[in-house]
Amino acid sequence: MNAKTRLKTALETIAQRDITENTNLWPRIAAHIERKDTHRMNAKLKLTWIVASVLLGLILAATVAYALYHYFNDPGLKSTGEAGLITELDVKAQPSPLPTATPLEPAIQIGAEQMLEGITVTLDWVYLNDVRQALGFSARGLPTELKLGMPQMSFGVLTPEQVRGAGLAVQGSSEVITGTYVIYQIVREETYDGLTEGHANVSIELPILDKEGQTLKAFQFDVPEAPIHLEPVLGLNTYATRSNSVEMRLEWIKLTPQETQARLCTDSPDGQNWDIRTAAIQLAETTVAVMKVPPVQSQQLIPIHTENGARCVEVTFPVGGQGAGALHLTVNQLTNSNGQTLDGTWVFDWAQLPGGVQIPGMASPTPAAPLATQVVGEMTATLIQAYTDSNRLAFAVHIEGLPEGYGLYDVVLKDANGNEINAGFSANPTDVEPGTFSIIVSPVSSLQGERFLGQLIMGVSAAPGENATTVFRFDLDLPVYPALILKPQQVLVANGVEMRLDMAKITPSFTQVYLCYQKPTQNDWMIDGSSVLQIGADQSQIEGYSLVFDADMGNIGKGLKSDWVIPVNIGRCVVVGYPVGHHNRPETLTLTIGELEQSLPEVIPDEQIQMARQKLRQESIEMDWVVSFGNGGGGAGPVITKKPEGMTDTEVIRRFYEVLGYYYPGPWSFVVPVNP
Amino acid sequence: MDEQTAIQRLKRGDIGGLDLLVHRYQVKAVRTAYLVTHNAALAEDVVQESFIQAYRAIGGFDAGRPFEPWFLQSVVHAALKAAQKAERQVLVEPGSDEPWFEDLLGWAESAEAEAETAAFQQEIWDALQRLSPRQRAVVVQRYFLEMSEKDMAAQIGAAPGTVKWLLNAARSRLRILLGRRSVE
Repeated sequence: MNAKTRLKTALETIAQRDITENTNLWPRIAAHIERKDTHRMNAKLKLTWIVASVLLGLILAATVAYALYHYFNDPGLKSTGEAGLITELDVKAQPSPLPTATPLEPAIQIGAEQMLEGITVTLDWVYLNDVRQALGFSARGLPTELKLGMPQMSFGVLTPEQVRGAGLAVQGSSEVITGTYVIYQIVREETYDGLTEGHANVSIELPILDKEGQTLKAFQFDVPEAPIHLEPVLGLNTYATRSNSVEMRLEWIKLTPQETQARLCTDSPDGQNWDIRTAAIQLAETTVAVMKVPPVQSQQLIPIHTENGARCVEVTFPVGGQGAGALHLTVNQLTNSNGQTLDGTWVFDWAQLPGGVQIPGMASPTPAAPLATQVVGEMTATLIQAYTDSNRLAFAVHIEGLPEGYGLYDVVLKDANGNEINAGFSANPTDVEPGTFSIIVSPVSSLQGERFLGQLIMGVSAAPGENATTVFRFDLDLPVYPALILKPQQVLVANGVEMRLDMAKITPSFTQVYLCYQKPTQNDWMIDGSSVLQIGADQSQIEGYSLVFDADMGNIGKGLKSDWVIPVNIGRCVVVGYPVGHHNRPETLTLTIGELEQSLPEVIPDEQIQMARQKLRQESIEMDWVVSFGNGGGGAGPVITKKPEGMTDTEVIRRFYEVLGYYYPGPWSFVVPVNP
Repeated sequence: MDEQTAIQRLKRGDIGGLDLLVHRYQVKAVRTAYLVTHNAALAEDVVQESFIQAYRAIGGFDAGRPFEPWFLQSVVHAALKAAQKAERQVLVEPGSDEPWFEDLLGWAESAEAEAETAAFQQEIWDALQRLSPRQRAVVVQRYFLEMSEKDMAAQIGAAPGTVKWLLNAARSRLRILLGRRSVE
């Protein structure tokens, strides 16, 4: 037996020893799925859009700014929100499913009109997909005591398969009623190959019902040779669900401005004839919003006899369905003829009510549909807030259905020409709600102009560097708050080193200071990370650093900030950022730089290490500096074996660097009046 | 009901389809998760959640492909995440090109090892526990699930070199851990 086989055998033996064959997770899984069906619904926010869905025009509320501080913690963005500086935003979200969409054939415009006993019905359009078929109609002269029934569609020689429910959305006044009907089922020619569109001779029946729901008359339309399109329909509505061994199906849903009706059917394998006595429904424009709507209890149940032995009821809910794009319907108890009850959780989540389905070539039936929300596969991204100034952009985004451990590890900002903006990005989970992220973008070059037009692209993945499993793209049209530009040109000298604050660019959320200074030596001397910028009552430490000029490094980086003429010929110039902004009132900017800090060299000479160890030993500190090498590169770090009581490791290391001469004390403290 | 029918039912939202898949794959899945997490209860939770995730994601599953590798990959991924959450990551020591099997082989094929099969298994178990969760995951994928390096790379969306590096690091560390024990 070779080692590889022996290892496999060992692993199998261990696994068999500790995990027995009679492991049975099914009861837990089944119970979990049924219990958590509401969550499933959220995950199932499969508001499917067809690959070439049209724009969802969206506008974020103008009050966004007042709540920015809920999502962003740095002082600049907090004060921006508190100041209420943002008065208008115009954010559009464009669904951009992958792969890139291709134009779709529009629905067939019909316009066929029929009149029966004073009622005129026009078949406006028909659209067939192999897994979903739809039609639109309008009716005039329908007496108030009569209703429209569920349309029926047949397809000549083609027999529909795998019916998964239907929906009818009716809207309009008593004079003119318009309706959209969608049924989910498979209609394919025998020669279906998955690539070639088929055709069907469609017959449509539109029934008119009396108050009791009986068919009084029916309008008949024929549409010969209608194309059956093949574009993918990704979303799912719950058609059937099982709880306590009873399967329940939602056969159809009918939404009118006054009420909502549903037909529910049950199969009871135990022969006990369980009946539905009550149900509850939640309707909203989107699947995100639907769970926030209080449930409405059913008012009327009419038993319907069916031929296949299923027990069906038509349930009426006293809630209008106009504009609804999603529903959540629950049944929690069944009753048999003996009065016995059976508890369970039968939940139906529909993300594709007719009111929310996009039909190619047809205007959205729900123009008031929500705003910056996108659904891609199992996930829904909602752009909650956005803010832009010339130094920074900030976004709050919520992702529903985010798998555990996944995050936004790939964020890109593009300009209106599709070019990536060179910027620093951070995308961190917030404490506000799981799945909510704050994204902060710091462009290398200040944004120009009064508005930012571009696209925010967010990739969801399991870990940094891994391929994104889902990508959301939001088109942006945002006002850009300009920077207040000050040129104090102050020069201070401390400890023999001259430092110049040449310029400051201050937006409501962020400040960039343009500094030049002499270096104590030719080494890499930086502004110390603990320097503080304060404007009014807000202060913060460094959050961004660009080397623009260094006379000892061949003027490296010169020109990076093209809008700044380097004012010196020696020393170094940098642009340092602080997440503190102005407050649109006269106040004072104070920049305090306590010291300069030399970057750690790749290798600290051994004699310097030994010298430092000796000095530290006199301070009761015993430490060494250990270097290691490996295939993937080397590394070095301190090993502290003794330190004075109360001293932290960080303080020891700081002391080590001090002894090595890696800090050069100042301080330099600039005070500049700010008058926006 | 065969597997294809079960998947089709599942795709229609019928959890009855999940029943068959759970009963067919749960034991192997829990064992896989257990080897990665080293915690039986956690492994069961991981597999339970993986089946629920599969149920939710089945719409995007290509029914023409076998279910088992697709599902077990998600189990390994979830187990890895759970393990990383549950324990502090063990420092990954530098990789080595030396064949780690040599040490293992020498001991595994010895008369002593034959006489101490249980001890050998315990040694493997202990050594695995001292790997980082990610290293454990690749060992389980390679030697328990017998996936090829190419398949592993494809499934985690990484370059083959990354998988080789991970395996190398895991092997090196196992070699050190096993070698240490064998000389003790």
